[in-house]
Amino acid sequence: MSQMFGTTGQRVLTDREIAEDILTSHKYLSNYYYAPAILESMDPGLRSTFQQIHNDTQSEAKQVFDYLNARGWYRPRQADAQSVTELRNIAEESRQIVSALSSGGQKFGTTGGVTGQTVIGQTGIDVQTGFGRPATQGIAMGGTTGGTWGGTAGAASVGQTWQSTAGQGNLQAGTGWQPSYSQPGQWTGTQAGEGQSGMGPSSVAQWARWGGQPSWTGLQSGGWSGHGGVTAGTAGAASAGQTWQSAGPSTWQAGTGWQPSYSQPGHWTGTQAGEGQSGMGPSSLAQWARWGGQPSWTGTQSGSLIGQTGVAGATGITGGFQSTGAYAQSDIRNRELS
Amino acid sequence: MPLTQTETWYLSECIKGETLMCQKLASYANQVQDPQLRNLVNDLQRTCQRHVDMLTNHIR
Repeated sequence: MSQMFGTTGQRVLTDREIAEDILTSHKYLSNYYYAPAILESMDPGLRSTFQQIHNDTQSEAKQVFDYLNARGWYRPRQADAQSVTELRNIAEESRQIVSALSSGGQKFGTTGGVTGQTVIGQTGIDVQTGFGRPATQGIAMGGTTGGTWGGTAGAASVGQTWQSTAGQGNLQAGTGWQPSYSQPGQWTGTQAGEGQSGMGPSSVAQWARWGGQPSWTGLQSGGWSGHGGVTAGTAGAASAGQTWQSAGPSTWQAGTGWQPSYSQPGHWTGTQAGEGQSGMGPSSLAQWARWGGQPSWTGTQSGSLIGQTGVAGATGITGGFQSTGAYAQSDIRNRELS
Repeated sequence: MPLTQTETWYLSECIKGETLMCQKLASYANQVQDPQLRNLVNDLQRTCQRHVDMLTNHIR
């Protein structure tokens, strides 16, 4: 490329450099100015203006890109085969997760076989050979250490890395001792992953803070709780200093608290939603009780306590728990509340 | 409706960004060699000026 010099001897920009700078500037304006400005605007007129300009900016950026691309000055590199394969796996995994959610949550983990899944329920211990709806009222995951869990989101043992495919692996709940037997009801577990290590208060906590009901009642909706699970997972993975890979692959980190899965008749330990575990913010339920409400386990049956504990074990694994785990919890709650 | 603090901030940043963009495009229009690119730059500059007008109209 020949260099051009102006009358003062200073090098002037080439057409390519000028076009590239215009494209870069448009990208910057679009990404860092207009996109967030739209999201942050409350005034409808201003929001509309930002949206119009954002659209213009993106359209102009495309024109500049076409100019560069037509001259061979901007040729995005083709994806390699491995990346495409990984992308396909991720897409397939996501389709399965979404499909499981849209089917009303009757099933999940349809692709991941489960062997030796221990289910803690009201009636004790049951062994599932699949990961459909649990046969007992209880929790279908996480209560035992080393149980193999194959949800659609996959699972991995502590310290291992998620595979991009809907995989299965050893699920180890929490770092503490978590026996798989059950007794009636003392809940010491966590709730929906909230407050697990490194996580701040969940949205559920916000909800409770506004005078709402304890968070578990808000988790009746499978979709809603599923979303919360994803959120919790993301936060958990981040707190562990580990990296998510798109739709779930991640390294899981167990919670730090001791979360026995057995229970005894009902006194509230005050350990709610994993609070007291490392780096956790206040839980919703603890907040709620502090403001004069009832402790969150009130109104649940012993099965739910056990179930909660089981979930706590699962959510002790911050990270890839995602919607599947949360769903299991909501499923149980639906049963109990119905 | 009075603007929020956040809206005010984004509005000011966008106005400054568009103004700088206009200045650059005006300068580029005199530098480019390719007539096709010059036309494109001129079009972009006009749009940019319109954007500044749209944004400044929200300041009452």
